[in-house]
Amino acid sequence: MKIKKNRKEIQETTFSKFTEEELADAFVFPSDKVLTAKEKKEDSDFWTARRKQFENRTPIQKMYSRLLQLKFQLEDYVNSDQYKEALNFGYFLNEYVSRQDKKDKQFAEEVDVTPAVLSQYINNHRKPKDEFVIRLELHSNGMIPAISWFKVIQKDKEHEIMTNQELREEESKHVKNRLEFAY
Amino acid sequence: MHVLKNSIREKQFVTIAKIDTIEISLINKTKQFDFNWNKEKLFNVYKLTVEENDEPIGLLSLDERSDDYALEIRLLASSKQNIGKSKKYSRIAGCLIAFACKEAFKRGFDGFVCLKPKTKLEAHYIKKYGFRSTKLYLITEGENSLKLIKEYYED
Repeated sequence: MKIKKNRKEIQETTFSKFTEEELADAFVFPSDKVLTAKEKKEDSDFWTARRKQFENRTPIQKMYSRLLQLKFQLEDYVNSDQYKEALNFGYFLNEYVSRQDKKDKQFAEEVDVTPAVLSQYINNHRKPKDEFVIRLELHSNGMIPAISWFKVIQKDKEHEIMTNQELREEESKHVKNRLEFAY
Repeated sequence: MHVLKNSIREKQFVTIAKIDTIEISLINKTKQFDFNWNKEKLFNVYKLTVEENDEPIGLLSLDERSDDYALEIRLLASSKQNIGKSKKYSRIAGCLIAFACKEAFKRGFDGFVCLKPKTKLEAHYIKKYGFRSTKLYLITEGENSLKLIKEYYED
């Protein structure tokens, strides 16, 4: 990060100049208050209740949570510049199925493909068609949109096209009269 | 995700990125932000920047309370030129709070985010972001956190 030099001396903000709404719109203030014994007890009770609430979720609530976690992990990944070989389409599809506690066979039926085809998708031995990606969106009731699935496939493809030396060698024989400009 | 440039009411796309202790020190030295951000070095600190501009306009410090399945907002600040009526950009705090909600889902905490508010500001956080009040904390989780993510992430 560059730091601008010759900047005018910057004053501390006088918080009293602003309305409460303006302050809430700009800050969450640090909580440096020393807690009383009563407040410490309340704090401890609060976190105990939180842990209890979380641990007592129903199986459906847990599943919903796992799927939302997957949705946001997937979206962050496809919108980032990074590529990780392990985070391919098959990985996310497998997560989508297993986080619903479903067997591959049951899920294959639900999206109308054979278990063999589903297995090929999961193991990245077959590229999914647009129809399958749309089925995934419909199956999740829109929670994970088709575009997110499509972007994972695209990301896998981009990596493949950038790194496939074998294909370059293979295709080399079909290219003649190459340009000789330096690049 | 975007903020609004107030002078022209135009959307400006923003990114949020984690910063390391060196960058925290550098930003602290600029004095563009209130509070001593060096105190936050033990926590997860993020900066919000407008696309194609390195200078942050918002900072957020999060405490990951894994044992409690929660993220706690320890500190959030808009830069000094983004406070009050004359601020350059709107929605900075909202973007950072929505980001915290998303992180809380990604960590498997059901979007549970809390903060300890200054008493007199509590009502404003509740009204603007739908936080729920407990004795010491304001919290958002589940559906409300999803609502905040939709509101601030959908362009």
